[in-house]
Amino acid sequence: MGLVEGRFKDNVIVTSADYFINWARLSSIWPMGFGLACCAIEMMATGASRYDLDRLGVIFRPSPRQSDLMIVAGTVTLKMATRLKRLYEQMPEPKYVLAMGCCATSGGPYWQYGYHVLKGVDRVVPVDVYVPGCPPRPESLMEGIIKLQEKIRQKTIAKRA
Amino acid sequence: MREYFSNIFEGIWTVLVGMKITLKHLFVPSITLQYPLVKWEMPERSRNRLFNDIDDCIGCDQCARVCPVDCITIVCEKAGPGEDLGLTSKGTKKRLKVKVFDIDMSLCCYCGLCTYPCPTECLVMTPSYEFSVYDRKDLVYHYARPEVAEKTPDRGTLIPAGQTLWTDKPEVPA
Repeated sequence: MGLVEGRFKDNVIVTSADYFINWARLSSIWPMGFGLACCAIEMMATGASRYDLDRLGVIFRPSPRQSDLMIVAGTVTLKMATRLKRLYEQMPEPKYVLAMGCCATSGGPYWQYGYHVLKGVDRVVPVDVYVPGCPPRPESLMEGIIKLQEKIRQKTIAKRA
Repeated sequence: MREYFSNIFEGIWTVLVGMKITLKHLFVPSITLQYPLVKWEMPERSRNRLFNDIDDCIGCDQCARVCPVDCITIVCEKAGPGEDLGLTSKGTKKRLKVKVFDIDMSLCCYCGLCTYPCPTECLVMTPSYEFSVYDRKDLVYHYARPEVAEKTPDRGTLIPAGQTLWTDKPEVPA
C-alpha cells in the first residue's frame, strides 16, 4: 500500500476500506504447509476433522507464493534457518509468522546446549504470535491463529504497521 | 458394441459405489469440536502452564535444580535475625525471602518434573493452555514480583465440557 501510506488520517473511506480489507485478510489466512518437527504432527491434527482449521478459513497451501502465514512448527535447525528465511522472502505481502511451540519460540529444550538449533525463529524472521507448548495442543494453535486474526484486525492501510 | 456399453455401466456403477460411502457419511454425526465456542474438559492432572503459589514457596531451589532445561530462576535472601517470615499453608517455616521466581514458559518442556520435589506443593501444572502472546518476553512469568508482571497467571480453571467462552467460567476449587 505504498501509494496511500502516511497520506491520510482516519476518515470514513480509510476506515471502511480497512474494515473490509482486514475482514478479507483475517478470514482467509492461508498458511504454508510445512512442518519441521513434532509440532507439525499437532498442526496436522489441528487441520484434520476433529479440530478443523478450515472453519477459521485456514487452508494449507503447498507454495509460499500462495500463502499469507508461515506456521513455524518445530525445531529450526541452523541448516533449515537459511531455507526458512528464503521461504519467508518468497511469500507475498502481507505476510505473518506464527512461532508454534517452544523450539520455534526460543530454542526450547535446546536453548542452552543445542549447537545445531536456532534459538528462536525471531532471529531470522519477524514473528507475530508465539504459541507456547511442547507441543501446543491443537486448541492452543487455534487460539494463536485467533490472536493473529485480532492483530490483523488492528491494521490500517493508512500507515505501515 | 457389447464391451462399449459394459464399460459405461462399469463406470457408472463404480461411481455409485464410491458415492454410497460419501452418502453414508452425510448422516454420521459431526465430530468437529467448535473450539472457540466449545472447549474440552481438561483432565485434572493435565500438564500445561506452570503456576507457583508464591505465598507457599519456601525458596528451596529444588524445582530449579531438577528442571532439565533450566527454565526456572530463583533468587533468595536469608531472613534477618529475629525476622519472622511466617508459615506456609502446610505449616512449614519460611526461612528464605524469595526475591525472584521467574518461569520462562517459552523454554519449559512441560515434563512436570519440577512439581514432584516441591515440599510445599506450591508449584503445580495447571490445565490452562491458552496463553499465546505477541511478545516473547510476556512468556516469562515473574511470580515473586507481581508488580513487575502486568498479569500473574492464576491456577487456571477446568473448563467443563460444553462451556462457552461467552459465559462466566465457574469457580473450580484448585
